[in-house]
Amino acid sequence: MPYTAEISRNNPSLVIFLIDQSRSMGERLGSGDDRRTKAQCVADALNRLLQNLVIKAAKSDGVRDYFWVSAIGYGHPVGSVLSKFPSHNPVPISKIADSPLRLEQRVRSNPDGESQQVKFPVWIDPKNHGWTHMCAAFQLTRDIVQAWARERSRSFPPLIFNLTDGGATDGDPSLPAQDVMSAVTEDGPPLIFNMHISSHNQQSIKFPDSPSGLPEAHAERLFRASSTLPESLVALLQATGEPARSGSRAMVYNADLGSVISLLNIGTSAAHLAGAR
Amino acid sequence: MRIIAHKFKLHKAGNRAEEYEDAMHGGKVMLGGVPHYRFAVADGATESPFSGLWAKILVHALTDGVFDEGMSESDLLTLRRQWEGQIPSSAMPWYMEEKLREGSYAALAGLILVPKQGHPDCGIARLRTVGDCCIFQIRRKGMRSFPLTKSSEFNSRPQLLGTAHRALPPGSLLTREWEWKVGDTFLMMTDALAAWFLQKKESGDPAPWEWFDGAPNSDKEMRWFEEAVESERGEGRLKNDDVTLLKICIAK
Repeated sequence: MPYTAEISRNNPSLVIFLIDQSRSMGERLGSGDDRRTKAQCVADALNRLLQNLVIKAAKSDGVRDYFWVSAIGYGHPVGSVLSKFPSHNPVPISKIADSPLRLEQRVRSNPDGESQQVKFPVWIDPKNHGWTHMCAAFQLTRDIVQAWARERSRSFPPLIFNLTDGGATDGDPSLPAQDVMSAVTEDGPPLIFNMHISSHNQQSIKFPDSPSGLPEAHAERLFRASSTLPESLVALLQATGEPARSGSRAMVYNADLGSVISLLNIGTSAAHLAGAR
Repeated sequence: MRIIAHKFKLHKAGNRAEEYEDAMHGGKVMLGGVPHYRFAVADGATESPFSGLWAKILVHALTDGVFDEGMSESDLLTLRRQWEGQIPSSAMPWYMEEKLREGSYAALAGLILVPKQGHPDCGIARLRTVGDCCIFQIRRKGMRSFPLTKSSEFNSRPQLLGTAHRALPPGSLLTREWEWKVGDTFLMMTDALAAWFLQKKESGDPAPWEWFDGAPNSDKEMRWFEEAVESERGEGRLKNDDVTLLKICIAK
């Protein structure tokens, strides 16, 4: 059965983030008192996700390299958004853990309603400059996953999360995305999740199983660039009330930030640690 | 009546032996001049920090009698503070601060054998469990299990005992009383082995407990167990996780 390989230090999982850093990401996404731009919201969400991956892998004796991570921005230029790791090649999670740009002090409410000061690590700063070179980002991704699949053929398939607010300006991204999906491991093809965020009040589309009904051409291209959800993820999404079904694609369009964060969390939970509860 | 206890364990494949996060303990205590026996196994959660330490604290608490009458919040608080006191206090990286804030978690199963007054060869077995560690009673050719009875009941989200200062949800502690007599065997296992054991029974093996009698002699039984578990893992029949078995034979 695909997508069941256990994840361990000997058999780590690869997670790749593709982040739209084009000029339009400087528009405001938040509503009401939340004046954050799309770039700020996305950077915040990814920093939080990286924090969760580090904590998931942390044990008494340090951070175990269950995950390797690559984070590629595409605006101008196209390349790694992890300042301390200028190459786009994957970095083990232990090195990410030890290398945030800074630790911010933030206030968090715990389940009992009490507030506490916590350290929030920041690896990615928001940026918006240039056009939407999504194809170039997928081409870099193709090179990464092909090398990974050659060297780690028994690993859980790579997970790729693409966060964007518009269409690619350098071609049809579904073509290099198909190349990415063809770099299979013994446990199945890579999973590409495409998350389109919008600051306009438009109807969101979640997990479509057909391109018909999608509002515009670049939505259809994103559909073709998205993986079919494995049944295990369909079940997880349905359990959280999401409208996923057999044959759905890993795609949300005109989504709000909450939906994006939810999909990031569920998508990364697809890779279960060996023996983990 | 004599208790013969055999302990078996093997760490997860791919980990070092010192990364084993289960725990087991057992012993005899005299209460009113009458021997009682308490045994416990615990399974520290993989993603938790210092979960092996928490598992050890829990099994010792059970065998010290802390949970004989139930599991009170004040008892748990004492054990939580014990865990906190044993964590290294030097400056920690940001992720360990966060991890410790989440706390450590473990499943626990306890067995307390109390002889019937005036009848040392039989008595009551009190079972205490939180989570998916299992206890099996074998008598002649029959077997019963607690708290799980089917391999399909195991999942990745059992109820666990945690070090974070929160009340244990109602219904977390499960208890049962069985009768025991000389000739019985009790098997206490953490979840990976328990699920494998139940699956073996479900697949048509009428006496899966005989598998544990396969050691050539008592000197070599641990090595035999390790090789047998590695073989089952290799065949995909046993999940790769820490494995713990406490086998308790009640003899005359």
